[in-house]
Amino acid sequence: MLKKRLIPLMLIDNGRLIKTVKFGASRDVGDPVQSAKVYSDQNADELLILNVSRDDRTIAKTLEILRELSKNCFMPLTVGGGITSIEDVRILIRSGADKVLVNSAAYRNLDLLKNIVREFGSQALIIGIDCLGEVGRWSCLSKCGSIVESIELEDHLRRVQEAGAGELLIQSVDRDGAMCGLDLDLLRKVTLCAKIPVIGAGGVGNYHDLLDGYKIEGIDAIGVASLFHFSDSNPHRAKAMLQNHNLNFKLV
Amino acid sequence: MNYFDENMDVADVVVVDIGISNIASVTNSLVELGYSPLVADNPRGIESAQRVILPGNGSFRAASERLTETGWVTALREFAESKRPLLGICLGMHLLASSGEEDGISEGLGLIPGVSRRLSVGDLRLPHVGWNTVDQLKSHFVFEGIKNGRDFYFSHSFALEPSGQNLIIGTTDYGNTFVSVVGSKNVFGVQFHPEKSQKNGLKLLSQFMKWDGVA
Repeated sequence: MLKKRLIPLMLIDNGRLIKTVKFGASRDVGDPVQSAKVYSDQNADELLILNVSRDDRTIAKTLEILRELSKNCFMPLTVGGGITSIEDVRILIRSGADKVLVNSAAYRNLDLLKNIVREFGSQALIIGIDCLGEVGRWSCLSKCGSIVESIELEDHLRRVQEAGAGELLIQSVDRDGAMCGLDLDLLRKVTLCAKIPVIGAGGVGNYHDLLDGYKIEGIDAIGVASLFHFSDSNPHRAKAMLQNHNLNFKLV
Repeated sequence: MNYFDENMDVADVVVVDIGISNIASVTNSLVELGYSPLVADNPRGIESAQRVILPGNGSFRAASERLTETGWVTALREFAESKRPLLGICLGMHLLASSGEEDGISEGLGLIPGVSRRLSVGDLRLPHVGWNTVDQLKSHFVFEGIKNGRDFYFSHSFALEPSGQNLIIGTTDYGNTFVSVVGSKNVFGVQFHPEKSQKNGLKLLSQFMKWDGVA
């Protein structure tokens, strides 16, 4: 049986692990390589590493971190933030990434998505979609939440799936760092439009928030940042609680 | 990362690089286990290799074309003939088959009789991504020390359907049951990514590195 996944979400700014609130003000969390090692020891299911620096929209810094981090972490690694070309993808995948996450470029460059899929397969491409709003009226945001895109969420979901995306990371911008629970309506809406696995993120503040998310049909994975970075919670403890509610995680 | 050099001693293990795989993950895990893998982007170094790993992601057709263009097809067939251990991972496992049905039919290495086909999963989502159970149907040296029913990391839409029951070492359920581990003499293939499967994945690679290639 395929297991649910619990994925620490690591935001990188200028080589440091940080955590934002509503994609804005950020706090320093520490060294990304050390933190990744800890998550690896805690049997996290996967890591998502996203460069969210607004001054540095290249892959250079994340590549440097990836090269170090992949020496100690023998689990799936996804890298995103600032990917604009197939060359970026080639070097990231050669350097230890299993999957890449494309967000902003997905609004204007569907050919990039198709090229990634042709060369590396659907399973190597995650599309990140940052959403803001309330029931029935979500907007898609690009460039780390700084630009509101005109395309409707549903249309964007359809286009990226047609281009061959293998997974979706759906983040709620207004819940980012707020630890007030996932946007369950948003995730329900997306799972209805998606035929590919969906990772929900943005707003997890306790284990019950995780439980609510996993109960949605089609939510295979949840991304967590604040809860793990700032509290004594960790993937082990979270799973121990969730397993009492008949959710299955990997056996190691 | 070491590329093959004519002056080097016999390699513990050669990792085949056809330019489309996550090479660093495989080599990092072998280094973690204390080995010195050589990455080879052409088949010259393979004669002296003790064992070979064929990793891979992406499309069967693209990979099969690359293998042919670069001379790997003949080299890998000859290597397999020599009874030294060969491990295919994910797409590398599919390439062991006689043929693949991704983007039309293309030829594989023909080391495991069978075909690589799209998974039939009913209403479930594809790709099949995440941690799933491997049921060991028979014991094999490469799985020694790994308990039955443990989870490994999968990330794929196609799977190898071997043409003989005797080739199946392990299976996994996703919509239907598919073959996740195959073996034929000195040739072994896993659908999941051992290099990404933490403790049990590293254990499997460590067993492969000790295997003498006798099934």
